[in-house]
Amino acid sequence: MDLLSYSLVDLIPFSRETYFRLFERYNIGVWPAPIIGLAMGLTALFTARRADGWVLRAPFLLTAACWVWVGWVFQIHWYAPLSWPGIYFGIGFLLQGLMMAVVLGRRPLAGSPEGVARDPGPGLWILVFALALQPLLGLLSGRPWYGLEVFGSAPDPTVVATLGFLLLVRHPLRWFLSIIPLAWCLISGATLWVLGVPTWSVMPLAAALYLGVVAWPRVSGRRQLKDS
Amino acid sequence: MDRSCVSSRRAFLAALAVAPLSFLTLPGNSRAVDGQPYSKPIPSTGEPLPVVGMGTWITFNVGDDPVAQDVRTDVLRAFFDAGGGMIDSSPMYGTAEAVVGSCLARLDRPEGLFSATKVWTSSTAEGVEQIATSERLWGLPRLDLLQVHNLLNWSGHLETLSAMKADGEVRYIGITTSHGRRHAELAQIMETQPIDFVQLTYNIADREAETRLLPLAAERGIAVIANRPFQGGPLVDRVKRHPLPGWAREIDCTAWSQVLLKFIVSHPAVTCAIPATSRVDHMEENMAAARGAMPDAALRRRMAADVAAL
Repeated sequence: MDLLSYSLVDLIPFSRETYFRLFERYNIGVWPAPIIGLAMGLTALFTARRADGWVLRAPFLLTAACWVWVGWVFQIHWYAPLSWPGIYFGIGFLLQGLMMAVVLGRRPLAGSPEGVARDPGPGLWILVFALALQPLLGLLSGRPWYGLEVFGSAPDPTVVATLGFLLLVRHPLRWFLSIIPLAWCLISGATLWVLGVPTWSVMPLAAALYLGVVAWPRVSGRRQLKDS
Repeated sequence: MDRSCVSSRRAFLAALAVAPLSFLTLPGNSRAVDGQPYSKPIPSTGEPLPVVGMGTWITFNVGDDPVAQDVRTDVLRAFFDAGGGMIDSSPMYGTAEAVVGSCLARLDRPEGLFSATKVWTSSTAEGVEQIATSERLWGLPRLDLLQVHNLLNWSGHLETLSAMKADGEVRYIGITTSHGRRHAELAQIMETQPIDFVQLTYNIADREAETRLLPLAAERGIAVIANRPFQGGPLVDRVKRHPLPGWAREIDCTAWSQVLLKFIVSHPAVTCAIPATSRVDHMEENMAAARGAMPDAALRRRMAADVAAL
């Protein structure tokens, strides 16, 4: 395939109206999956914090399951018929789900201080945003409530929530697990930008925030060393 | 090639040589008295084709959404009611071929349909399967025009298409490009391959094709389909912020879209333009561009200059 001769616009062969209608039809078609996905997200959030420390294995496994669902059901069966790159997006989502399950599901994160971020604040705020606020952004674009994108069944909130979870852990493979979510932030942002959706910048900003939070301790650490 | 085709091509070239000409003096160009749109002959056969066709990029890629499919059926009905004929699609356009097929079935396969689609794969063998899939999706036993999409594996696919044409499995064959891509290679194909149609981007703002490709198409007797007549939307959005110029009345235009379409189809070498829309009112507006007075060469120059100055 002569991909180099195609521009971004060539890869998005549908209108904004069709894109929004896709989520309306999808939410109705897979009902009650969006509610189950959201419940899984909230469960993951509230079970992450236990009295004796952070318990992250279960939340990661729940999130990994959501990546598999979004890859197989949304990307391959709903999105790909409208746009051929959807097949590849679906494979990427399936791969991410499997990697998260294997890498983080096997490692004993429960209550292990060395595996948990020192400051969970930014990760928690991103999680709350992805679960509760990001779906509501659709209302700003005039979308009906039944067409909103929610964690667990739609890609964008699932990806942003994953970045939030990744900020809660200190794991040697965290960068590796960040590649596909960060790539999706760019892909989704570009898609929404081409479609003229006012909130197109949310996903790239989420990626930038994630990278900033990850990089900040190193930057501030170097400064402290210089100052001393 | 039969003698009538050669004669038709000679007359066409002779007409080009004495340009500027008014649209209706071109051989084969017709305006039927019963209110049908202007048509131009396909050079290789002389078969008339309405000068305004319909593209399906984005607009017909709506999946199995019943609400959106109802609207597209209405758009197609308006197209055929206005005398439209050519519908152009591609396997690259997601579900567009399936939606066109579904809408055509709902309209009981209107008369006058000229079905045009493309083959878009790097594999020659896969191309054969893709064409069979396209015929199934359109719900037609035979497509009128098969084109190699964006020059992808053009030599392999042209062999397949030529064999299909020889066997009567397709009526016309061609090749496409868009956005001004690979014009030199396209020209080479036009010079050496026995194709009936070429599809390229040509509009009042993108006129690169005027220098080489359009004269070459006329010389070689190749029909020209102009895609992206509104640059996919931004061109018409830009010009419609301004009032219609006075000369628009001279060519019976009541909307900018008609001005843009008449500029394209009044070029002697262009056979038809394929605007895409998902709205019935826009379809009616577009199809009105195939009627009324057409600009001559002098007015075409003025139109291009005025639009460039906006």
